[in-house]
Amino acid sequence: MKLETINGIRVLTTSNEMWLYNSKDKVISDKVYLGVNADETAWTEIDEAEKARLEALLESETETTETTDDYAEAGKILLGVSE
Amino acid sequence: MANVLVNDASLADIADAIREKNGTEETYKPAEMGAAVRGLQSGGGSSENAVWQYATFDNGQAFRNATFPDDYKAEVKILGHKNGVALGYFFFNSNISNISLEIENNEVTVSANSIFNACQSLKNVEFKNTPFKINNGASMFGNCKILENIYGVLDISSANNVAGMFGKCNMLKEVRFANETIKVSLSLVESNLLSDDTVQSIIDGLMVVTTAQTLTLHADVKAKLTEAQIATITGKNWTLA
Repeated sequence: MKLETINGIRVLTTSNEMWLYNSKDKVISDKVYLGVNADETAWTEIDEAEKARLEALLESETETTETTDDYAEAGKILLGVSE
Repeated sequence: MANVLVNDASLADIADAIREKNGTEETYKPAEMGAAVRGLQSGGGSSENAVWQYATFDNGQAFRNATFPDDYKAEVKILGHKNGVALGYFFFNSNISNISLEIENNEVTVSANSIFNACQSLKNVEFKNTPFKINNGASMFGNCKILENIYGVLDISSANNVAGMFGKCNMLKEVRFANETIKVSLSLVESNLLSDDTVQSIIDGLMVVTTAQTLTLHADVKAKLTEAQIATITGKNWTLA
């Protein structure tokens, strides 16, 4: 993982066949432009196999199937959020 | 051409069916009936684009199992002046392709969790009398895999949860946000067809945040950003991934 400053912006990049992963936001990226106060340590480097594993996990979390349980789960999400 | 004997009752029944469908009181000769039938709009003449009016949004899954004809535009008007919950309003409706949603009072906020989630035929959503104020956008358009256009302006300034709001929106081109109303991490990572105007609306929509948030865009979209756009994003304390 490489951190450099380009035009005043901190930029994280990786070497070939590696990816950047933010476990808090569940984001996988090849290149990250950090916000002015962003913590670069939130990002770790993962390899292709780990990327595939995480993508499959995220896929299973976001895919919706037509069951009452899934709908109930959506309700829990709603009720669990402070609005 | 062979002549076929048809009784008056049969012809009257056909004419009645045409009048029922096109909402007129026209009279028809047998030779005119074919053209009249062809002139009927799919979905049923005058009933097409009927407007449903609801007193409040609190009607979960209201349209989940509704069946609509091809290319039908469902127009839903929400009356009332209270904040509402639209949890799964159209959740998993598999045949609706066009939806127009009008809210009478655009000062109210709506919990729109999964409102269109998994509408697999949905191509266009139009919000009238916008901005459409949302206090929960989780999975709002999730799994709308052929959704292309979201018309109207979204205001998510009171939303703390927009997880999966555009998940799997692989065909999305157009969406607009009110200026400086996005305050929590937002992902459009699966939308590689976003128009330039959409991208600029997202950038203009970002609030200046004190705790760094993450805007995640598809690699193709990210690659087209200008240096000035990237500087604007990071300058608002957003990380661009």
